[in-house]
Amino acid sequence: MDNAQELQAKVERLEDKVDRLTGLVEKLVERNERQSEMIDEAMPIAKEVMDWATVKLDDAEKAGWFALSREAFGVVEAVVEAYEPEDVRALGDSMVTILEAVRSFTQPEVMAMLAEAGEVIQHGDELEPVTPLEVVKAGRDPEVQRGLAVMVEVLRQVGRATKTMHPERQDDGGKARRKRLLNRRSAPTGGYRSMATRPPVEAVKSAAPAPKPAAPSQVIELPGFELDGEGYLADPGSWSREYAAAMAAAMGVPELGEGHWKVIEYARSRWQETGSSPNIRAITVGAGISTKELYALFPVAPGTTTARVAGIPKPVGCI
Amino acid sequence: MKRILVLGGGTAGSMMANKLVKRLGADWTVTVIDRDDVHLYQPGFLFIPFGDYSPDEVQRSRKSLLDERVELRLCGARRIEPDNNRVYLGDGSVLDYTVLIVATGTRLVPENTEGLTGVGWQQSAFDFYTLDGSTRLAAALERFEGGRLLVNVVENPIKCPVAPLEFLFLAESWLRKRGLRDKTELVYATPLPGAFTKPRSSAVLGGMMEEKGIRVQAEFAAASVDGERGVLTAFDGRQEDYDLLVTVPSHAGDELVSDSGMGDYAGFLPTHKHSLQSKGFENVFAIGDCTDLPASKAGAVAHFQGEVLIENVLRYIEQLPLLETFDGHANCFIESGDGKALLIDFNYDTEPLPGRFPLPGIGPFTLLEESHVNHWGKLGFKWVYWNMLVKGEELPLDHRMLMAGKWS
Repeated sequence: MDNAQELQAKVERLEDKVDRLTGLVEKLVERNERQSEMIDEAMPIAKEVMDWATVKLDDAEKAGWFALSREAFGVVEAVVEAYEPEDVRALGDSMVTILEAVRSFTQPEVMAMLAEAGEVIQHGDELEPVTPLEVVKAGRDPEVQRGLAVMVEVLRQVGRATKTMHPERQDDGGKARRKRLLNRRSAPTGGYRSMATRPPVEAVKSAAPAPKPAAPSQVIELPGFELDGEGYLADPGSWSREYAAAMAAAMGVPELGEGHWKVIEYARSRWQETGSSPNIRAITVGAGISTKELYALFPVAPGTTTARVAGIPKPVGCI
Repeated sequence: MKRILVLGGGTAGSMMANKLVKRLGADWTVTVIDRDDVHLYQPGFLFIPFGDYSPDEVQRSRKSLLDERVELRLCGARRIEPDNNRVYLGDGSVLDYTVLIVATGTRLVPENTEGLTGVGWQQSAFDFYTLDGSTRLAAALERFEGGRLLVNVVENPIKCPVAPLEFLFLAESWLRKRGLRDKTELVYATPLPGAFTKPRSSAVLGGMMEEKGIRVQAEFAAASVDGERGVLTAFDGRQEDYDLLVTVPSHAGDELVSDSGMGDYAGFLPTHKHSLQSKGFENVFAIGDCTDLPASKAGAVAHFQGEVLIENVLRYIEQLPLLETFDGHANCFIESGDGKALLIDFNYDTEPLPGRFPLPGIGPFTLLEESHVNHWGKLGFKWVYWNMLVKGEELPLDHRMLMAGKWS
């Protein structure tokens, strides 16, 4: 009796466990189903998104956005090479001043002035040289006087700025300046790092690698027949027996006999059927000759020679 | 009961069977025939010789990859009788079909090259296109102490036409890491006119072989191997010595196709290039490496073909005109060593071009250009292969090649 009760209790406990496990398994299965359903749903959507993104990005590419950003990256690289991080930090600090300068420079009057000045410089060669006497004469012109006043004020500002930038160069009676100039003459460095490391233009020109020879001298010219850049018949449809004979002669096969024609005809039919130029085994099996015979007919590279003579495309890999 | 019979449970066959059961009603049976229950992840073979992948990683049971509604029979097949819509199986039974999908792939025929399987085969001469070959090659490389390493493609077509180049690049990088590069001469003997034969690839990648110090012997049609002396001879008499020969042997279609009188000179099945219908029989279709199409023999190609073929099989059943939309689209990562890879995307008419893929301007993959991201893509592809591609799941890629993102 006790045993039976114990058993019953055990069974009940087991039932409980099974119930709980079943619940868990159901949950797991549900989660699994949910996930795979999500993937099933997501993939067609992803495909649509890809299609859409491909079109949008292709438009951007065609408009030149990516090419531009690649170039811009090159500019950034040049900046990185030429400047130290401190330079960039200093640049950041003076951003407001720079923007203000840009704003005042871009006022219509200033722009007009610059444009006119530019015009004058561009046509500088048309102006007559000015003698010292004429300088004095021009000095009487009120407009020139006003201009001079502005220039003097600008020069004063430049001088003041220089003084704050290089306080150590004050009042040495020009000795340091002469010394620096002498040094510079003996060792012409200076300017930004990039300027120092950049070789003169002439050197760049001579150091540039010589252009590679266009293609191996295999390219053949056959007057009267149009070949592609690599010496194969440009349009396989324009093939003729005359072309085959001419190409064979150019490839060092002076006369085309019955065996040659068998090979050529097979190669052409194979290409027409499958769209690919046959390899050596295909030719031997298809034309019913041995490899030795094929080499006797076309001793040098029979695969490519056959393709040339049969007027079908060059045998190629995928790259 | 109407039946679609799929011959071959590899990449193309499994993918098609999984797609078909999802789209067909309960009145259809989809049956896959193969010889064994080992599905191989063939892109992984390339990594085995260098110890990056283990043999266990590249194999799974075929059954585990097929939808449970697919009937799988592992008895092989002996003969197809396309005139009677019937296939004779290896166990003596006969199956009738409404539609036949040939996905029998391609096999290696090292015997086509005189002497290759003689003395030295799998001792100093290896292939890496079989699991066995690449595993043995791993052991041989482990013992390698330098010398001349000769990589040879016997003839085209081959599976994954860029794999020999990838092997060279990975070997070059691996030898450098091992401190053996100075003691090793790397030679590539190819039947093609060069390592790169397409204009844009040649222009962009032309210098790669020279930079990596790999000597190229072009238009080299391998005739025979002397395993005792370690010499590979071409039909035109040129000879290349080797200490270690890594060969990509001759390929052929499956015997089942040639024995049934349906194959071409090498046993490949003549197939319409845009619809994937066989040329001989309306209700016979072909997918993957078994066809005679001028497309690459590669898993990516089978995947893009699958998207057209599923529609065409359904259209054939519904008596609708077939789609002519397969464009030869292929898409492959090319390992270039040192944790980088290239990516190429091309089709029947368009050669590989530089650019970004799949998103124009963004990528993240770089076309015809080395990058680490491409290499990560190649490694990540294994998961995609086992979990999505073979399962016949939809991937967010167009089956046609797009010009978007390419710089022409």
